[in-house]
Parts: sequence; structure tokens; C-alpha cells
Amino acid sequence: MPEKKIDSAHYYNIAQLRVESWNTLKSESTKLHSTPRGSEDEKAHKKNLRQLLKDLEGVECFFAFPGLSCIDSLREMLERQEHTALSHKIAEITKNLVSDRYRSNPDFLEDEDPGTDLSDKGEYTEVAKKNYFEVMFVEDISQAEENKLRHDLKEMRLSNEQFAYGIVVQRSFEDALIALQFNFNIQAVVIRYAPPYHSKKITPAIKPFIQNILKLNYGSKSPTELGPILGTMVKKFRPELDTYYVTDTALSNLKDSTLKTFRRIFYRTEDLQELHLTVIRGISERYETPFFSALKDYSKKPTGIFHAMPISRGNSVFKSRWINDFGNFYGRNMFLAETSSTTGGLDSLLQPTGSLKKAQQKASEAYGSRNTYFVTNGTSTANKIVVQALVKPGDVILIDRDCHKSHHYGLVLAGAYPVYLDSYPIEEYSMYGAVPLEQIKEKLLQLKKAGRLNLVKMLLLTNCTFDGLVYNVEKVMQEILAIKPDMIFLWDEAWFAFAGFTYNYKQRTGMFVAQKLCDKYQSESYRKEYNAHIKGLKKNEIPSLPNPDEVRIRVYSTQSTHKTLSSFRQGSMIHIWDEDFRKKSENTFMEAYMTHTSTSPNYQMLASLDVGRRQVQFEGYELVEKSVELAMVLRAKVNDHPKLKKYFDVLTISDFIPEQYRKSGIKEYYNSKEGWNRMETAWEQDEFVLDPTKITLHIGRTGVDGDTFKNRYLMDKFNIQINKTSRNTVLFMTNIGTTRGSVTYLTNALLKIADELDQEFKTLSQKEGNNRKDRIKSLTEDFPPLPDFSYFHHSFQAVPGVPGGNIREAFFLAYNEENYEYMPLLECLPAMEENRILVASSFIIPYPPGFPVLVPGQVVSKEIIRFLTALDVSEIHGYRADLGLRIFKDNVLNRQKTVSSMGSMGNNAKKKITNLKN
Amino acid sequence: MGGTTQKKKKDKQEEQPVKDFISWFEIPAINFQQAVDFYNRIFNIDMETQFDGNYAMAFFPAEKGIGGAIVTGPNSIPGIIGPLLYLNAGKDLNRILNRVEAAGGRIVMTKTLINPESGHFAIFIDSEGNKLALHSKD
Repeated sequence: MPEKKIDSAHYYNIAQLRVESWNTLKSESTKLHSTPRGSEDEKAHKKNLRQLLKDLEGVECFFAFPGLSCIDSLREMLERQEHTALSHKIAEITKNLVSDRYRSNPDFLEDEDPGTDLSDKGEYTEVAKKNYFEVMFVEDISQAEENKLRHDLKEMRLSNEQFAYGIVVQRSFEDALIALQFNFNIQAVVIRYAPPYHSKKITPAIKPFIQNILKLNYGSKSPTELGPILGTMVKKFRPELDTYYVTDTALSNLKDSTLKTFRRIFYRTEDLQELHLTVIRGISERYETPFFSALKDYSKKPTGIFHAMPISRGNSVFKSRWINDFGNFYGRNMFLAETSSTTGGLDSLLQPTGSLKKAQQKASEAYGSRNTYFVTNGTSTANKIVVQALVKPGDVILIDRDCHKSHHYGLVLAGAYPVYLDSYPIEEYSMYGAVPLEQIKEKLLQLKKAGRLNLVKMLLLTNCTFDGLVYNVEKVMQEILAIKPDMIFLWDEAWFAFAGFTYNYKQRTGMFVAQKLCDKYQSESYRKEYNAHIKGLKKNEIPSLPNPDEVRIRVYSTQSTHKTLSSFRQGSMIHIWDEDFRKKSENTFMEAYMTHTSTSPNYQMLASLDVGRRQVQFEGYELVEKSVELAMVLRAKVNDHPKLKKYFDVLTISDFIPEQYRKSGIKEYYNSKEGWNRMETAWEQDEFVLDPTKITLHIGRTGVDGDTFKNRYLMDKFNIQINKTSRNTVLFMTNIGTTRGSVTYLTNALLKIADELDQEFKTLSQKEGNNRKDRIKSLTEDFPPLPDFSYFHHSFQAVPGVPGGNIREAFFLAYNEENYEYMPLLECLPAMEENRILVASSFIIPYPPGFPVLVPGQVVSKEIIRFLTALDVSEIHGYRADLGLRIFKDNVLNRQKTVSSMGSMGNNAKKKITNLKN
Repeated sequence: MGGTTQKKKKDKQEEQPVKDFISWFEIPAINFQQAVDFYNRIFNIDMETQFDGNYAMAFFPAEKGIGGAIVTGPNSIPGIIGPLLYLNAGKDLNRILNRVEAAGGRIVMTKTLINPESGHFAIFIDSEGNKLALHSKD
């Protein structure tokens, strides 16, 4: 592939292409239906339809609904000139496809005549009783054999089963992977015997969407090897799926890796019945929610309560004349499931042995960790637990300064010395980017030079950031481990829990990379690579590969499940992939977990974490892909609409990420000319990428600042809630709950706002108009500087001139009110002119964005004062506008100074001192 | 018995105030070589080092009078609290103090007069984070 050439396509993904194709087909068939027979137009429409059907075949072959046989029957109808029936049938299929209704009626899929109207069966109004999914068979079989397989499996289905499935047959390695990527319904894969490698069905239309697959190169492998390789590929791209292998290779000849890859291996002689039962068993295991089920069972039991919690079973609520509306609002089940019991099927979060233990183990599998812990007080608490578990007073942590405030408080609690890392500033939009790897390495080398490398315990980074910047996790870990092979990584993935469920994103998550690097460093090929690397180093050059004999993979991720996946608020998880967990940190981790975890954790929240896990294992891939798609749709919409373009810009990759961090050369996800750029290469290589689901809208040209726009325009007028603003931007996010409707509503609201602004501008008087122009100029051209972390006051530095400061000492010095004073913001700069050193005695945290511009012990810089003066948010934690900045008194800063007792003693002493002279 | 008298005499002798209250001092360090470089540089000396198991030591070359050492090893922890050691900085302590920052330390108090008879002192933090004082007559 030529450098810097970005692949692009007219559609964002296959789903868009597919829906668009069916809609074109529909409109062509309607036109055909109303065209006079024998006319030139009829000929043209028919020709178009034939081509469209042919093109569709290249897409539909990967889906069970409506299936290739349906395309065949459409073609037959076309040739038989049944134009009316044809257009009806196409309209019906399109309707079912777009609305996903076919999935609510599994029987329909295997009907002889798919595409018939389903609505009279009346099953769609309620949620499907059966859970429908598809099983993919990978085998090079004939159509007749496929039909027989379909028929035989159908025979085995029992009418009362909870799950129902259809089958998709793919005849090659490549086809199987394509189907896996396109078809969200596939939950299990059966690889039979030896599939050939190459696909015969790849059409130019689908090529842009299958980059990750076309990059693979196993074409030269023998067919017998391909089965197991395909198994590992399925595991790589979609680890949540069950994979089965049907082979005739004798057990003794199967490699260990093959045995491990598949959930079960079958032999030719074993019958389909066994396969069917195993598939269903696999699905029901994934479906199982140990804690949620236990809680449901518990709530059904009659119990007498002589325990705490009058609210449990609704006793104090429903009988009350004064608060029964509260009960009615939430419903009875909520209260039946409220209990402080840890027995009777329930479990204790602090020492789980039953249903919670199982639920956490299942979560660990789903999220690819070695250990997973549920946290019921949000990721703020999760962060404090991990920091306390791994560092002790005096240890050093490298940490990005603009990370969430819970980390900074965690450092105070743990007594660790932070070395603050600065993210690069994006001044134009008053926000920060992320920390360049070079800077992290530089700080680490400084510490190494000062002999403090062994005190460094952890690198803590936010991935992704609030604004959607994502690190190259693999590159960061690899190059840091090369300098310090036992570094512990804490990735704050509060905004990134969803990332584990689609491949592009997953490559940049802590857990995935931990596993990947661990496998890599244990391999023989890596050892060779490392030896060659060391040999090739110039004098004094620092290795960028870690020593395989010393490296330890120790990775922790904290995730707010509730932010991006299904869980009640505060539902979070800690995922751990730590080779030394048992040996080194399990005990301290449990102590830290006990320190911060409530002894009355909320059961509804725990149940929601359990159920949220089930959801991502079945439809995480689908939902995440769809939320990315919706984000892309919104980006395109604002970009293309002339009226929206007038006032708003969707900020894109090049606005956020300086060129030197974009090796792939990608500048934007979408532009009107070329359509969608493929993101695969960028997400694999670039130092930073932008998460497309975080959509930052630049609103400078409206003349309205971010905070006002959020409150007065979006919230008051349209009830649209958003989370973050900066001086001239607002941030929208799409998540797995975002619907097409909500995206349309937002676009509409933006259009109305644009209209309103148009109107408003017209009615302004000359003077008002000038004011408005000034405001727009200020928002689009004047940028207040973004301050870096200045430095810790000398008296708080661990070692002179070496990064790292005693934040805890500073924090607790402020517990004595004699130690600090207030200085109004306006007096700060003049005081600094007179050479006074101002040192913060508290955290100063503007909200949003919610990270400190000052921490205890930090020297106030002029840039920080200017930033605080220009800040447009109303909430600044730790700062009282009526009093001013809380700074340390000079005698505190000089606390290490002292008087000498020398010379204060009586005459005898003076003699002694005279002696000392020599 | 005569022996008893002798012993009493000896005890009395031992109870005489000692001449110097310091026998030896130790400055803890984390980064041994860095600490040795620091003191070598500010005092313009060349310390002799010794390595013994978990410990590393470097000795201040005191030919007579009270000497001391830099010590790195378990339980040898630098700090700014605890006893304050006044190092003899010769005639004018600025000669040594002026080298502190370049050597990787930090000056907490510049040269300060105690009184004309007692001389001057200054406080600094060494490369390891220890707080120490310097003393000189002039």
C-alpha cells in the first residue's frame, strides 16, 4: 500500500451500503411497476434491477436473512414480469431489514417463502420470546448439502427451547471472516474439516470494509492448518463467540494450541444432535447471569426480615400513607430485590464465594482480564483502589496532569509522589490533547539519571480522554517497559468500556494489549528480534524493546461500565492483567478494595453489571459498531449541510492531533468529496487517534460560548443533554443507546438554532451587531493560553530539580488554618511582579473539564492566573470567588529554614564554638 | 579494699563530660554514586568507598577529629526531619555553598550570621533529599 494514501469509501460501513442498496432496489422496482409494458423505460429499469440484484448478491451471501434464495426468487419474478408482486415483495423485505423485525420472528427466516408480510402474525409488538441467533458453518459444501444441513438441524429444534437459530454457510476462510464482520447475528462458528482460503465472492463494493481481513496472508497454508488458524482469527476478532471444530485429525495429532482455541472439537462420526446441543449449551452459558438470577430468585421467596433495611420488600414504603408514591414509581420488584442479606443465594461483595464470584469471573472472561472486580461507587473509587493497592508513601507515579481528579486525591491518600506529565494543548479550542510518548520517556530517563527509577511504580494515563483522544497503548507499554521492565500501567478507561467489543478499538485497550504483549515477549521470535535490536543499537542509544528475561506485564484498567455500556450509575469495574498479581499485589489490592468498598453495596447496581456483561457478549459488537456508525452519520450531516456548516464545524482528527502523531496521514473521518476514510491503518499505527463517537462541535461562529450554548440553547429549548463544553465547543457523544431518531432530533435542533441565529443577526442594531462581531472574533481568534503544570515548590520537591513532589505533605499542611491565606485573583499577578512566590494549598479544579489546574504544593504561574481569569465555567472546586486563591503563607514555604542554636548557649558554649573553628 | 577505691576512682573518671559529643556521623543516600559525587564536588575531596553486601559507604577524609560517611543500603533513608548536622565549611562557607546547586542540591538558607563570635551558618538539601547545615567562622 502506498504511504499516506488513505482508503476511502462512499459508505461508512456495510450496513449503510446494504440499506442503501435495498432502498435503491425498492425505488427501481416501484418505478418499473408504474412503467408501461414494452416501453424503453421499462427496459432500462429492468436492466438496472438485474444489475442491482447482482450487486446485492455480493453482499447478501453473508447474511441469513433474506438469504440468497430470496434474491434468486426476486430475479425469477423479474424475469416472469410479475412487476407488482416484485415491488411489493422488495418493499416488504426492505421494511423488515431496516427495522430488524425479522429477528423477532425466527420461524420466518426458514420459511419457504421469505419476504411475506409478517405483520399479521402479530408477534412484533412484544419482545421476541425466543432469542434468535445464527450459527455459521464454514465448509466447502454444495448447495444441496447445505439444504440438507439446514433441514436436519431444523428437525432437532424443540418448540419450547429458549433459543432459536438459523444457519449461514460460508465456503472459505476469507468468506467466514467477512461474514463474521458483517453479520451481527452470528453467535457460534462451526469450522468443518478444511475450508479453502480464498473467497470467490469478494466484490469491489465490499472491499473497503474488509481491510483487516485482506491484510491477512494465510493463502499459502495447507487446508488442514487453516481450520485451526481460522479458530484463532475468530478468537482475535470476536472472542465472545463460541467456536467449534469438526475434524478427522486424530486427537494425538492435534496441536495444543488447536485444542485451546476451540470450545469443543467434534469428529466426523459424532452426530449433529450432539453439535446442536453443544451450541445451545454454549449460548445458555453465556446467557447466564449468576447474580441477577440469584437476586430474581431471592425476590420471589417469602421471607421474614429481622435484619436492617425497612425498605426491603417494600414494607416501609407500600404500607405508608406518605411515601407510597415512591413505591409506585419504581414498582414492586425494585423493593423485593432490596436486601442486606448476603446469604440465600446472594453473596458478599467483600468476600464473594457464590453468585457474585461467578458473575465477576464471567465479566473477567468477557472483558479479557485475568481478574475483574465490581465497584459500586464509580470509577472514582476504582481509581483510588488501584492506586492504593500498588503504591506506598514515597513511591513515584508518572501521571497525566489532566486526568480525572479522583487520581489526584488518590495520590494524596496513598502518599505517592506524582510526576506530572503535560498533555499537548489545543489552544484554539481550549482543551488538552494527550501526553506524547517522548515526554513520558524523557521524564523516566530523568528519574533514572537521578537514581530514582526503582521508586517509580506506575504510569497512569487516561485512555480515552474526555474529548476522545486515544493512546497507542501497545507502543507506550513497549517503549516504557524497555526502560523500566517492571512498570505497572493503570489505564483509566472510564470512557472506554465499550472499546473491548470491536477490533479497531480493542487494539487500544489495556487488557487486549497486556495479553498480546505477554504472548509476544514469551515467544522465541521476539527473543531473536530483541537480540538483533540490542546488537544494532548505537553507543548510548536507549533500547526501545524490553528485555524478555526481565519484563513483567502488569496492567490495570478502570472502567465506568455505566458511562458507555448498560449499568446503573456508579457501576464500574476494575480489570486486572497482572502476571505478578498473586505474588505481589493480591493482598494489598484486597486491603485497598476493603478500604474503599461499602459494606452495603447496592444490589441493583451489581445486578446491572452482571446483565451488562451478558449484553456485550451477545450484542456488544453490533451495538458498538452501530453507535460508531451513528456518530459518523452525525459528523457527515453537519459537514454536508450548508446551513449547519455556516455556524458549526465538527472538529476532526487534524484539529485534535498534530501531524507528527499521525503516521498514517489520516486527516478526517469524512469529507463531502471522498466520503469515508477507512480508519483501520490509523488505529493500528498512529500515536494518537480520535474516537469518532466523541463529537466536538465548534460553535465559535455563533458568537455564543460553550456553557451558554449548552444551557440556554440545547437544554432549555430542546431538552438535549450534553456533558462537556469548552470556551467555543460543545461535546456530543453517541453510545450504544443512541438511536437514529435521537441523531435526527439533534440535527433538527441544530438547524433550528441556525435559523434562529440567522433571524437574530438580521434584527440587531448597528451597535449590537458590532458587539456580536467582537464576541465571534473573541471566540474564533483570541485564545487564552492553556497552562502546563508549573512545578512543585522547592520545599515540596522530593529531590531538588528531579520531577516528583510531596503532594500529601502540602495537602495536610493546609489542615492548619494558620498556614494559609487568601489572595484575590486580581492581586495575584501584581504580587508575582514583586517576586512573591505563590503556592497553592488546595486543589483548584474547574468543572468541566474536572482536572486540577493547581494541586497542593504547586507554584502558581502567570499562565495559570490568566487561564483562571479567562475561564467561563461557573463551577471551580477549591476556589472561592469571594475570597480568592488559597495560598500558603511564606513561613510555610520557609518551614525548612531554621534558626541556629549555635551561639545561644552561655559563655562556655561560646568557647566551644571558638574551638570548632579549627 | 584497695581495689574498691580504685574502681570508684575509675567510675568518677568515666563520668567526666566527654570532650566531643559526636563520634561519627552518617548521611543516608538512595543513589550512592550521586551522593558521593555531590559531596566530592562541594568539598572538593575524593572519598574512599567501600562495598559490603547490601551496603555501600564512602568516607569523609577526616585525618583527625570527627569523621563520617555516606551510607546506602537497607534502613538508610534520607530526609529533612530529625537531627540537623552542621558540617564544618572551613573559613568561609560560601566557598562550599556556592557549589551546592550545581552539584544537584538546593539551598534552603543562604549564609546567615549567627553572631560575630559564633560565625555564620547556611542550610541546604543534598542530592538525596537530606537537610544539612554548613558552618564557618567568617
